[in-house]
Amino acid sequence: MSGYLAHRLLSSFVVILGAATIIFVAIRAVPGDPAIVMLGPSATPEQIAALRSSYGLDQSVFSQYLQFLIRMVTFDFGPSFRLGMPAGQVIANALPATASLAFISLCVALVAGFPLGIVSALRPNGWVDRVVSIFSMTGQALPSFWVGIMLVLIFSRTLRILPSGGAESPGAILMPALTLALPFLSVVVRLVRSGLLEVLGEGYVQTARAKGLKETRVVGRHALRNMLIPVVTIVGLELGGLLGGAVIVETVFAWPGLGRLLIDSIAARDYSVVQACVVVLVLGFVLINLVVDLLYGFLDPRVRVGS
Amino acid sequence: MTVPKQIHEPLLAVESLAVRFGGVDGGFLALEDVSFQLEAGETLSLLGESGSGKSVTAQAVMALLPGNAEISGGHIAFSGEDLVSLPRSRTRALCGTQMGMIFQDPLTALNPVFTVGDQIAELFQVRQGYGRRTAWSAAADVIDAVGIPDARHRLNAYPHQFSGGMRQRLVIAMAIALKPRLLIADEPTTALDVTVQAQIMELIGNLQRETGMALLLITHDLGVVADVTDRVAIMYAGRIVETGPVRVVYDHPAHPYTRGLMSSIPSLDESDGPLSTIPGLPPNPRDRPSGCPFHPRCSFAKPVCAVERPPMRALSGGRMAACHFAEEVVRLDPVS
Repeated sequence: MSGYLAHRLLSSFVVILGAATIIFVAIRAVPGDPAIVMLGPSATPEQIAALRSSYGLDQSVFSQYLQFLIRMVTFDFGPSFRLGMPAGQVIANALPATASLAFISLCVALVAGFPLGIVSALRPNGWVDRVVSIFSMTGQALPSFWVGIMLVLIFSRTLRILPSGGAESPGAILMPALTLALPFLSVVVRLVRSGLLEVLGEGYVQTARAKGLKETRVVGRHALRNMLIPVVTIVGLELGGLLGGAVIVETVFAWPGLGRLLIDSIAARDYSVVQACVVVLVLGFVLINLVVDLLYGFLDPRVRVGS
Repeated sequence: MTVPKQIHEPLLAVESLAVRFGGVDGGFLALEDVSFQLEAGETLSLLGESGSGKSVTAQAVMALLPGNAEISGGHIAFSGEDLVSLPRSRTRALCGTQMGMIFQDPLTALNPVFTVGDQIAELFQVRQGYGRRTAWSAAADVIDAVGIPDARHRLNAYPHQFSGGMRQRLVIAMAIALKPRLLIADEPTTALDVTVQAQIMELIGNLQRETGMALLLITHDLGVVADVTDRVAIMYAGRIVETGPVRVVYDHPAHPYTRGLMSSIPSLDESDGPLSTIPGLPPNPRDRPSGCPFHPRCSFAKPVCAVERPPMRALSGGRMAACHFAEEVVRLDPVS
């Protein structure tokens, strides 16, 4: 087990290092100097040079890179050029908004997705299954920026019951969370349906029935637990995608989270915040996958090591 | 004149059972007019090729037919109660306590994510209302009874930690845990090594002797049938074509199909001759031949066989066969 964990931690470290390197290079490959973007076209060369040196941009790219890596270990990403406070602090301020958005979307997707998938699988090709499958396919196909705009048109413009953006009023999270949840919900429904259908054909389900167990117990205990094994794996992967999807949804709804921060920071060439954002998102992705792997071992005794 | 009310009641009486599988093409009949009886404590073997309807018969009795199949006719009486007219949940309640089933593949018949103790104790907890501790202790007794060493300790192991033969013992343990009166064994040794097969059949035989339960053995293994069975029913294309005491049927088959099966057993002292086989293939259930479904493959077939379906007829020696020329087939020389 400890060897496995060491292996996982090492590969996680490589993933984070790789992502940090790519974003470091990529953001510098985007045309536009941060100092020029910040000071505007009227700035004198002296002003620009002063700003560049105060943020260390006058040093060689390689020494900037080394400094970035060394500081990253202590979650120090340097000062934000745009906001004048440590980039780590900027991230910490935006993180709760994105985390709550992702958490609510996850809950909506799981709480609605499991029952819908189960009902569909119990009566395949029944009317519930047909309706659900049409909705889940549509939900996956619609781009979230379009869904977001439609929701704003309906609930903010026409019905005037929800704010179109921001995070000030308590109901503000509903529309971004639903928009983010929709494709995820569709994936969960289809995963649960196909997973359960497959498991219901297995021998041990027949055994459970031959034991005279009620169908609710056969499905709820014997089938569901086995169905969870593939579902958890893919839900974990999709949850990473949820963080990515948050970038678009937060922009549409002006939700003050990491996604919008990332977009704004890219526009301002705020290198330190962009780097910090990406590193934190990748870290989240890696952590989710680690949790999924541990859950997997918990759910399936066959992959438990050392038992 | 009034017919005297039947006093004797068999444990299981299947009568004119028909099972239809649905499908976009209109489906097909997997079973047609299947009738047999099983007395308490008796062993009956259902023998036939793959697709002949043996397993479907077992699934119909246990209410385990897949979702696209339904009983389209006939009756299944279990100690006098017609299971066909009962709601599935009532038949389900008889499973485990009155009827137990052993499945073909022990590798898939056990749930991989629960310990074996959990899976066996579940029977006692859910069906008998035992507390957890007593249920586990009862589970230990049961897996001890099926010959798994170190039972109490092994309860905490998962199915994948057992060999194939041991897993089949666990499946048997679950089937007999609540002392059912009928045990259905659907090809219980097919998926096992030859050396383990004999042990499993011996275990089933011993358990049957100890508990006095009836056994419905589904198999295509003629040797297994001869060893453990009282009576045998031969199935072909969804029907029973011959039934009777094992020795009588084996020595003097009355149906050409049975005769073909018997002569297809390779014999050690005729090792130089070619293997005897039945020509042709079993019919497609969606397109069965007219008349006797076996006639295209039958060396005794006469024109009438293609037209008229032979009914099951009682013959000497306590057997029945569905062949127009059963008497002539019986009179042939014994097979090998």
